[in-house]
Amino acid sequence: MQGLKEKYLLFKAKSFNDAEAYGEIYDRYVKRIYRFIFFKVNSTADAEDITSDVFLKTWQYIKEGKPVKNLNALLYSIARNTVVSYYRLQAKKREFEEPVTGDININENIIKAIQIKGDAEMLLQALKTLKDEYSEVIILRFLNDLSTAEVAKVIEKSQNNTRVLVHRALTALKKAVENK
Amino acid sequence: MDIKQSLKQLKTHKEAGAPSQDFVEKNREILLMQITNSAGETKRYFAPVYAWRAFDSVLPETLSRFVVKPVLLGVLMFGIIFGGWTATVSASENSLPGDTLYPIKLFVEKTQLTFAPKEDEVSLRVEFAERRLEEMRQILEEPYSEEQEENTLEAVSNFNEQVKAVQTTIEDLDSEGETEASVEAANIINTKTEEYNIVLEKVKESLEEGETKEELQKATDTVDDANIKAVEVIVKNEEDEVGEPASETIINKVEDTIQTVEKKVSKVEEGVVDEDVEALTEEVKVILDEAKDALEDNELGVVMEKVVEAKNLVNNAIVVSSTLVSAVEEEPEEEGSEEPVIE
Repeated sequence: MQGLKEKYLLFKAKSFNDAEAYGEIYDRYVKRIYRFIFFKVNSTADAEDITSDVFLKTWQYIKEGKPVKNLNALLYSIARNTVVSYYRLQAKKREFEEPVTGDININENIIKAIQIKGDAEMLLQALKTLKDEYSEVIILRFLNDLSTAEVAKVIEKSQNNTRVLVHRALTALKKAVENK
Repeated sequence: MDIKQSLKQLKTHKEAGAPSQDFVEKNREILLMQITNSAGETKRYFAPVYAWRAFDSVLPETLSRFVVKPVLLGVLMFGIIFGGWTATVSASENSLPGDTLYPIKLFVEKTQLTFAPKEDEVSLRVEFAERRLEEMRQILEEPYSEEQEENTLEAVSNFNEQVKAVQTTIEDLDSEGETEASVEAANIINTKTEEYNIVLEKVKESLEEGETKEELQKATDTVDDANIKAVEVIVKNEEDEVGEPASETIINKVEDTIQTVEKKVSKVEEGVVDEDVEALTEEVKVILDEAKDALEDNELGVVMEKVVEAKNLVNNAIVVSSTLVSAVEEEPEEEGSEEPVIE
């Protein structure tokens, strides 16, 4: 995935503070990163905020001169960490605010998916019921079109393990759809 | 239902995580604005490091890691083993007088001066003078050794050399009509004077009477002389800007130079004095009074002329006084000898 063009853009951004080059990197990744985050948080607004944050943090990481072996994996890893921080913050807020009502894992975005008719609706609802590990690999592999090797890098597992995980996730999803 | 196919179809649904176009565009705009503001200036110059980074960034990682980097490392090792010059030079940077590598440090500095343009010479020499002060501090912080005095002396002598050279450069630039460069150089040495004198005083306090302490006194005198020349140049430049009243800062600088010469006079009077020395110091005092009168009339140019004249005379008095000191030390003390040589 990290082709010559992408390496060149990264080099320009890093060495020449070239904002436009980083803009091109943004164009390439924004939709995928947004989707990845969207399935993990509770609102479109939060997904948008976190996406902005992820791209800014990635820029800062690049500018600090740290090595970037795989930009794709870096972006997903920063996205994951930012989502974790987001949940931590939410948990802290809840300690001081109203008591929690309902299941905090319910993804409102997925509930909205009820508006989608047919297979899509069922799929989204089924996806919601999967455990986090499974839904994550399905989003990465089938919605964000990453190869098995790239998914493996993002979730920091071997390719074999990832292949097994994707297979299990798909089986679980199928089962969930059938139960609907 | 083909689950993989259905999943792929979800991609375009907003509810399945497709961001709105409006967000994508606005966020891009904001992001680029943020990074442009935080990135500072866009660098566009070429440097060898960029060539390497560009080369390295497009190389496949395995090729870079297992072939290119090891080969370059080998070449580098070869360079270090067979061409140790650069390493030696950088190792000499932290050396002190008395160290084996110290002459290399001085040699490198001389080479730098040889190739530096005239206008950069002052800032380089000031940097080197500061290095000497730092060396003096480090030498005296170390546990006492026999070479301590000698090493300090070496640093002080070199410091003297640098400051004298700064003064000469300022004089040259001034006489060549290089006003801007001479004023810039004068300002550099003027701002450093106080700092230099503080360090020199501290070093002096930690030394016994002797050659090194004398050399330190000479260094203080050299700094004062250079500063007087610097203020002279600054005032001259200020006067050329017709119509502008002299600023408070410049008046203070001029006043400081008068005080410097007055301190020198007091020091001479505290030492060994004969008729000639006394006549000289009296003359200096008269000139300094004239300088103060001129200062009240705000004639800074005249003040500086008087200060320079007074400084030259007091320097003569110092020379005469020091010859008297040597005469006293050399003369054997005999009981009942005739009249004392010194008044």
